Amino acid sequence: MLQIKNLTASVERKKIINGLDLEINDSEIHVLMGPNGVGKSTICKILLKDENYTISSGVIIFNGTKINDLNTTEVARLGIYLVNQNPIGIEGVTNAEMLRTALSDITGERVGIFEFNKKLENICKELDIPKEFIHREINVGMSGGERKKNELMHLWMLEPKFIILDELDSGLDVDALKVVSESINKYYEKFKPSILIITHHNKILEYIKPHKVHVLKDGKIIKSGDITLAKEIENSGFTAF
Amino acid sequence: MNNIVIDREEFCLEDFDGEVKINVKKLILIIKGHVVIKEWIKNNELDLMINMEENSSLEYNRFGLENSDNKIIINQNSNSRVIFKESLLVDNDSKLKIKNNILGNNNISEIIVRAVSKEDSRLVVDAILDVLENTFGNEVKEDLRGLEQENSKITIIPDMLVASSEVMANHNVTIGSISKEDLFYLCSKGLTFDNAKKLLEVGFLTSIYEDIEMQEKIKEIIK
Ligand SMILES: Nc1ncnc2c1ncn2[C@@H]1O[C@H](COP(=O)(O)OP(=O)(O)OP(=O)(O)O)[C@@H](O)[C@H]1O
Ligand SMILES: [Mg+2]
Repeated sequence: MLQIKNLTASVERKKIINGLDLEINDSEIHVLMGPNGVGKSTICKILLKDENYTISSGVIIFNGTKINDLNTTEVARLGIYLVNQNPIGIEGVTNAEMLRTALSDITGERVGIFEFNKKLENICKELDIPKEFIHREINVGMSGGERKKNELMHLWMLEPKFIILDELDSGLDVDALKVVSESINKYYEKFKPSILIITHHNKILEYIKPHKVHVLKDGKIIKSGDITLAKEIENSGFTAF
Repeated sequence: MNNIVIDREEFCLEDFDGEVKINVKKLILIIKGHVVIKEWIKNNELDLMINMEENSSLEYNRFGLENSDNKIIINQNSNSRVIFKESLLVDNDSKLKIKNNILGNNNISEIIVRAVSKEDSRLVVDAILDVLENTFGNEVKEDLRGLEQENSKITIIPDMLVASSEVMANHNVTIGSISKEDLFYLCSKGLTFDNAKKLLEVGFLTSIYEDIEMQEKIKEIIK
């Protein structure tokens, strides 16, 4: 699904990623851990081709397509989806408007309103958010936890193949974390996507079982392992690496 | 809903809620009771004076397209409340001058303008607030924002002439372009760059109105 080979990238002329290699196969769930400011969110932005981040060498291949020179819309359409660490609010644009535009942009067809609304209402129910959210401005006036759920509402509508969850668990109360994790698991069962989970905690990994865990430091993956690596980090931190 | 066509140079609206069409270039509008107006303008030229009677309230929702040259004076005596909202999408040189005269006490006024300029257009928004000496209990607010697209230019001149110290005044003026962060967000959901831009533009223009129908109609018009 995703191959990152010897990637070097920077933001504001500061080199953050330096010789990164990462391979995630179809339907695999990987976890990326690492100290604050090491570049985890930077990797997300690079994958989504945020213009502020420049790739100076290396390649990123997604399902056989080199995405180095694609733009954000193009990678999104290949099926890469990011739930941002801190989803921003978009004033004046509602969830429904954005989703309707996105879906008709992607498929080239008009979206049937009835089906569309019905699907959204079901998603809201599953995510335990009021269906009024459908016609609310995107993330505006929503709490941190509500924003994360709102982003998952988009995910269920857009049906991506590769999901990046950048600290999905941050700011969620215990119940919300459970709801959100169950939603991800359900999505996984249905569509078998690949998933990259970025987290500082093990709690989310009790719900969503990963196949691999990686540690990012000094711009690259310095250690990979299974779930025991995440437990090791929780117990003794990153200083051991 | 009511619809009214105004074709006299002096007109009184009392306890009204509906759409107005102004067919004169110069108008004195007297407001009594509780009035809510919607107005759609296109390519128009208007010299409007609004006189608020005591204890009256006015919510004025305007939406303008293309180029226009509008001069609006709002006179508030005492105990009146005005919310004036105007969104403008201009692609030709345009002018909007709003002067709010606070002549008495205990008035509330809120002037909200959103403008998007396109192509090579020049838009000048002149917002003058004049609070008379020895008045008290007045609350005035100006919120004026512009979004410059393509080679256009917006100038917003806020002017607060506040002679009274017993007034709560608040103003916010910003001119900018569409946020790159917002564009990135929308594109990351699969929208094309152009559609993302359009959604943000329309959102900017419509979000000031509480009336959903008004928002929908503007979206339809811009499309
Ligand atoms: N747009 C930007 N402009 C300037 N510096 C940036 C930008 N984005 C990231 N950085 C810098 O790059 C480094 C990596 O940031 P990043 O957000 O990727 O860290 P992170 O690993 O996600 O950390 P955390 O665990 O705290 O979320 C930091 O030093 C950060 O300040
Ligand atoms: Mg981060």
